Amino acid sequence: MILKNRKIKVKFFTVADYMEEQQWLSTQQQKGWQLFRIVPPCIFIFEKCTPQEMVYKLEYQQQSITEDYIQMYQDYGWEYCGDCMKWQYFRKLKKDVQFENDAEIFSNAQSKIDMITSILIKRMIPAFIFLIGASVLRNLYYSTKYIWMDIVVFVLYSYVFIKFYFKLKTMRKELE
Amino acid sequence: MDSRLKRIYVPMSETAFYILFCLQEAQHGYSIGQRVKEMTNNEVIISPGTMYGTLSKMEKDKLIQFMFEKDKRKVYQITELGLEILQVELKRIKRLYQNSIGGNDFEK
Repeated sequence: MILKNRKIKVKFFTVADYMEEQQWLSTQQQKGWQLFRIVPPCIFIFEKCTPQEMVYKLEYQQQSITEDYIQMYQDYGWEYCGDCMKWQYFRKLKKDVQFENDAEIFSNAQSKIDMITSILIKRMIPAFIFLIGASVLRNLYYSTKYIWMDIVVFVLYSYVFIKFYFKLKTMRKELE
Repeated sequence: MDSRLKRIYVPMSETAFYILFCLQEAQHGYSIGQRVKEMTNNEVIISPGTMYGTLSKMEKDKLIQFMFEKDKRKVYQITELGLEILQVELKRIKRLYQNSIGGNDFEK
């Protein structure tokens, strides 16, 4: 759908796909569409721009976003372009990148691992417990007619969980 | 010194070392980053996510303290405890260096 100079794209990225999401946003910019806003969970609103090489980076930030957090990123040359479900979106022009690490928001493996671990402990595991709990309660007190739905959700969730866990493992190996 | 802090900060990562070392002088995250770039001839670059995270952790562990905020930038400085840990690390680095250049006598 194109409205004047805006375009809406619906694309679902799991928490484990944040690197693919970064790349996808970069690709859109190269085609002349800049990220304008995100409507959770998977609606991206773009606006027309001159095609250019832009680096997009996402950070999962559990703590509330403060002014000094945004200011620090700005000092380093990153533009804050919104948030979505605790994910913070930043972008920087490729031509403003002088050294390799200037295109990263994490300069060492440990901080990358800390972020992933934080996602695992503060989002995935609580969500998992909630899903199991809700399913158990429903089947116990309501009816077991829809247990097949619970199984489907469980399988999908496990898939994301496992994908994520392996990403974490690979990163940990890099550190060692 | 707390054994838990010892486990985390001894030995120190390069990032943590440079941040703690620079904070002997009160400054904010971005200026630490610039300083480290200067000191290491652009070889050690601390990115914002890492800088913000490390400063938060060090503040929690009381190695550094928040001094004031100016123009939306938080200024930190090293604490007594931070200095203690920095000294332990500096001693370790000096010993490493002395041994690497073939010296067997290291400063006590």
